[in-house]
Amino acid sequence: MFKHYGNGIVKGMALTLKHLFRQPITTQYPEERLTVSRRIRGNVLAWSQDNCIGCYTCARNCPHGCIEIETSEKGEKGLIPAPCTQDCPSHVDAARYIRCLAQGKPDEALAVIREKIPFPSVCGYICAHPCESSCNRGLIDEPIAIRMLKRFAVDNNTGIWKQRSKTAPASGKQVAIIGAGPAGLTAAYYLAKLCGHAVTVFEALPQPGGMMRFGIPEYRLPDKILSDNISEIENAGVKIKTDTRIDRPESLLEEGFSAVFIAIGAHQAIELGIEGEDNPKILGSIDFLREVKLGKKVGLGNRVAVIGGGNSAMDSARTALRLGVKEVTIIYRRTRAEMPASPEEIEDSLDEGIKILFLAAPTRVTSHNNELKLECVRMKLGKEDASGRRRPEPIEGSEFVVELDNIISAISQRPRLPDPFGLATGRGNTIQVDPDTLATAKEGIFAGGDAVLGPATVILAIAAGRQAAISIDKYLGGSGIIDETLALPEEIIDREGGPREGWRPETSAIPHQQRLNSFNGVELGWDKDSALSETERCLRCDLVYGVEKYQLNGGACIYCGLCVEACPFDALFMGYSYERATYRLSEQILSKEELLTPDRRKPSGYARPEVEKTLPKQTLLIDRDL
Amino acid sequence: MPELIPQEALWPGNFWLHLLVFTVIIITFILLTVMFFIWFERRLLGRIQVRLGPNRAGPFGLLQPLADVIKVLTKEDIVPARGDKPVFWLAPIVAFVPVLMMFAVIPFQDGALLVDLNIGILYIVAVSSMASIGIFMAGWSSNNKYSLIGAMRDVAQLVSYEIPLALSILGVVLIAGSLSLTEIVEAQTVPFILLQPLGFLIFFIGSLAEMNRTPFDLVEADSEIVAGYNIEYSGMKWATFFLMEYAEALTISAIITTLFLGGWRGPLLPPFLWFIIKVVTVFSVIVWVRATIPRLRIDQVMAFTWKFLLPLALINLLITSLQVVFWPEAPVWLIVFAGLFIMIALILIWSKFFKLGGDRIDV
Ligand SMILES: Cc1cc2nc3c(=O)[nH]c(=O)nc-3n(C[C@H](O)[C@H](O)[C@H](O)COP(=O)(O)OP(=O)(O)OC[C@H]3O[C@@H](n4cnc5c(N)ncnc54)[C@H](O)[C@@H]3O)c2cc1C
Ligand code: SF4
Ligand code: SF4
Repeated sequence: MFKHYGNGIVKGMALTLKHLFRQPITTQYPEERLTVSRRIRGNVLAWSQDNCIGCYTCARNCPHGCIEIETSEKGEKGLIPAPCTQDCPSHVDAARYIRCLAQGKPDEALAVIREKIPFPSVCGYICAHPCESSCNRGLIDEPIAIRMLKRFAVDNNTGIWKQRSKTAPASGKQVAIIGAGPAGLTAAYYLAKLCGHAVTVFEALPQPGGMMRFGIPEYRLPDKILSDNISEIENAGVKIKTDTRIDRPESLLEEGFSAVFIAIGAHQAIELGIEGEDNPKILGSIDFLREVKLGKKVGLGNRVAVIGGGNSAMDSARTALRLGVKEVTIIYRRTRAEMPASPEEIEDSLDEGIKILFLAAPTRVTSHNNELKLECVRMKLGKEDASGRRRPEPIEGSEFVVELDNIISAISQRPRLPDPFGLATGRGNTIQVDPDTLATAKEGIFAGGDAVLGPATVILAIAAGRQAAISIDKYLGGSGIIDETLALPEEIIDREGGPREGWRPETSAIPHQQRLNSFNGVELGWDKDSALSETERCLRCDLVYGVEKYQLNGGACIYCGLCVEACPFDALFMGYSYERATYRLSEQILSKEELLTPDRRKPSGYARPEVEKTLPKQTLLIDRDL
Repeated sequence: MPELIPQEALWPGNFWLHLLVFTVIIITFILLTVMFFIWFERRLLGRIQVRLGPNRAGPFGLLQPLADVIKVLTKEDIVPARGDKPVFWLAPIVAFVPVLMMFAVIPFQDGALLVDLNIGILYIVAVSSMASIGIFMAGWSSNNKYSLIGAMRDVAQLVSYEIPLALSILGVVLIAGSLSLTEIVEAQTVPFILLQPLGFLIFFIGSLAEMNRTPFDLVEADSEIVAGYNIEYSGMKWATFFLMEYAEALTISAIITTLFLGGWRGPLLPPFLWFIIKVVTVFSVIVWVRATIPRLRIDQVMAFTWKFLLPLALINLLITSLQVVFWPEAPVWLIVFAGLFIMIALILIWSKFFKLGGDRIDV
């Protein structure tokens, strides 16, 4: 008893007495403003009215429902375009056409789309929609289904935009375009219609459309939809010469064309690089898909393996399934998380009964009386490589053999450049161009699309086509303006109570049995109600709504900072309420600067300047006498 | 009561003048010393915790208490709507006045006191308990459960600690043979702390409890009952309680000085200065204790007084009485050593069969 308490007390008293004679230490918190991350949590939540557009993201993100916000019904055009518009390579004003649909005007919506791209229907069906990835609504629940809304707009249309479009007078100059893919056709359309040049498109294949026609399978993009878009381009005065392969762009210049745009895409399948690959039963996915589209008979056995994990692997596998193949397996060397194919595609493939073999790579093919034996090795994921994905490494001794009838290799493609092109090429045999103007090293010759980017997307090809049209028109002495106004000036509709809460309406697909033996379109468009209710979810990031009430229920707030993180417009900020104090290095016993490692010693700003003014007064941290 | 005070004890001579001068002196002394104590405690505590303590206002931060006074005076004065308002208003005064009254009998030096009561120490014991009435009034009238708990703890603490406190004083009274503080001081040729070490310890601990200082500050235990009885007080009324607490610390330091440390007596320096030096020293020890020992639980506090302090105080009283009655002329050195020995022995023996608050706490 005494031992415990007595000793404790005596020792304690001695210790405190000893401390009394020690030199006091004073740490003063440096008052320099630290650069704080957006994720900082503090006890002060500041809201800046200047930045707030009244999008309700913060309120919807608060797990406790502490934020109450009321906005005026009238919105005004803000200064910055919506992120969907910004991140679309062709800058289609999605926010605006979504509002047109909300007003029940699909015609206007199509006019808005048409102002930027000549392939609205194609995009409505198969666009890779980078806009949705950047959509702010994704911060709340799920991005707006922008592509589906575009599809709704094109599917329910009377084509009013045609009456408003004008054709430029002929300039008397001739432009040749090699390749009738989206890049080539887009450039052709704008050069012919808005710049008045006589454009001829040379296409090696019997039909125009490039990968849109011979890559993307019918069940995703029906031919008719594509043909509609292309005939619109032909109506604008573009001449398309099919079955004409061009091997030397200079020959076109010699024939009297003033400029040439090379848009030959990436059509050469990359080899697997394994032993025994030169077997006629091993097909390249591009060739396979093209043969199918051309209506040729592709003799496939009952067991087919598709090697690769991208969208063309999915397309090849699903196409093979529709040709009557019993057993389709996709072999991919990493896991599902690393698959470059879009998640919906993977989902659909699995849904249709395709097997995917993850973490496996082919090493050798042998053939025994009509049967292919594919030797594979199991892989494991190792360190991250330059692309941030984990590099697969083979596991010793884990080899196994799969017996197959056919193999489709869908690893990747590269442009097939005829030798006489004589253009500088870069990684993956892509043509090197000036990234701003798309001009090649050769005078009057431009290039773009997959031929420059490597396998990419339709919307990037369209953007390249637009850029090519601008550059070529300027090169030919024109203004380079290819914008036209097709939609009427926008009347901004009222909005009551913020965007609709809830998720996307469901998208339906055709039943399972109908998929397997036909190339019918799988995905079905939306009806009016679904489209309308989806438009109501849009936050209208390009508008500014007057915020009439912005109230934070401080009692319920747990200062978790989720609202701050969610606000897409930097209108919320969390910080600390430091008290005002003075920082004099000369008086300091411990100097933070000296304690820090040299690289962190630099005094830094505390808050971003635009939020500084919104912080409570006592937050300001004061003079330093350095 | 002019006839109570012998004329020659009066300084500066006339009764009324004496009353006036000493009242003014005492009040100024208390206010100034309290301000000094506040600063002193914070500085000392700071140093013990290896920091500087207040150092911005004035030289060495000496003006800090003044700044605090101004702050406190300009604060809003809040009275709980459902509280017992008259009682609420009265409480700080009822608590503060007895503390002031105690000073009436404390000699600053020979003859320098308001009244040299021949029952001085009895008067102090009586008056000092009255402060608790004020505290209880505050706790009750605030209409707040924390206040009430704090106030009830105060009363419980007072009732328990008053007994060993009074018993330990009795030892001093027995040796000095008088209840008058002046005479007690005069009797201390050897400071009574040496003759009555156990008595001193008990008195010191008891008074810590009486003025609700750590480790007995359960009355205000911030971590459990927020601020105890003064939770609802603000502004000037709160400041009065604050003043009361420090004034009480001052008074107790003065009483300990008078009873055990020989009061104003000391070589070389003027007696008045000796008195102040001793008071500050006692106060420093109080702060030192505060800086070291953490707060006890209420059951531990109660167990400590009833099972530990009270029996020891009784034994101490018994031994002292025996010595005074049977061997009054015992040599001082013997008493000193015997006293020390008895204290250590008793504490060791007692801690053998004493448990603080049951097994749970026994480490
Ligand atoms: C299977 C598959 C599925 C795809 N799915 C999608 C999708 O869902 N969404 C999406 O956004 N993108 C998709 N893509 C990518 C997209 O189709 C392409 O990025 C886009 O078509 C590239 O357009 P382009 O104009 O640059 O080239 P291409 O569309 O490839 O057009 C090039 C044209 O040039 C012709 N040509 C080539 N050489 C010559 C020559 N010497 N002389 C004359 N003509 C020549 C070719 O025959 C071809 O018609 C897919 C690609 C594939 C392979
Ligand atoms: S998320 Fe930002 S912009 Fe949107 S309402 Fe909240 S504060 Fe305003
Ligand atoms: S919420 Fe609407 S405006 Fe904002 S990014 Fe998404 S689609 Fe565009």
